[in-house]
Amino acid sequence: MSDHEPNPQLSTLAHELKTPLAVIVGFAELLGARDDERTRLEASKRIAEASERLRDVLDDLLTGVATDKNDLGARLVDALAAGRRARNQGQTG
Amino acid sequence: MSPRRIMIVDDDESVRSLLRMTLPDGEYEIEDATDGEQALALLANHVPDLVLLDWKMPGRHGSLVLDELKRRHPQLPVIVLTAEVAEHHRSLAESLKVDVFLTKPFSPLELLETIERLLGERPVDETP
Repeated sequence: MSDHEPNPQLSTLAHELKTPLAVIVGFAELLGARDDERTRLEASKRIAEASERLRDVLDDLLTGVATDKNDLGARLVDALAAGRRARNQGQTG
Repeated sequence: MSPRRIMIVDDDESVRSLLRMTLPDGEYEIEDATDGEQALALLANHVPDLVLLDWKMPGRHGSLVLDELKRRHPQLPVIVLTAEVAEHHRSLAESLKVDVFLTKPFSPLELLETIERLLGERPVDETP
């Protein structure tokens, strides 16, 4: 499938991972920028909820990888390594 | 200056909370919609100054909501926030005249700057 074609599975995975990540990253930034009680209370609550949600998604994914019979784990590890290499090259290039 | 009206359209309550907290109290009036149908119904009553629009939502997809928003109010600024990674989605949003297309995770402070820039490009009392 090309990058120009929508992939429903990838779309769902991206949504499940990136939505709680956006909440964690976003509230962490607000916490660093604002020093009021309302922000602190809301951020701590939302970051805790989103962290739990993200942990559940990752647990489900890892369980799926562990039971996959098509070597999905090895392909995922390769993809992670390729991503790290690309980021490192971007930082040094 | 009277507060600017922002409509937040997102099915995820925690993201709506993040967007509400991003917008400083007193400077913005915020209206929430949990899906596209609700957003378009609210729009029939009054038009906000800017819309923050999720892309992947249950019911009417963000692209359909964007299309309808721009049909009704071509000058209404719309910022799409999405977790989608495929370039296809950005191209689609741009073809539908989105003003800004941001991917999650995003920086709330940069988003606020973007909102202020878009609103600054329009007179305060202009009706979209």
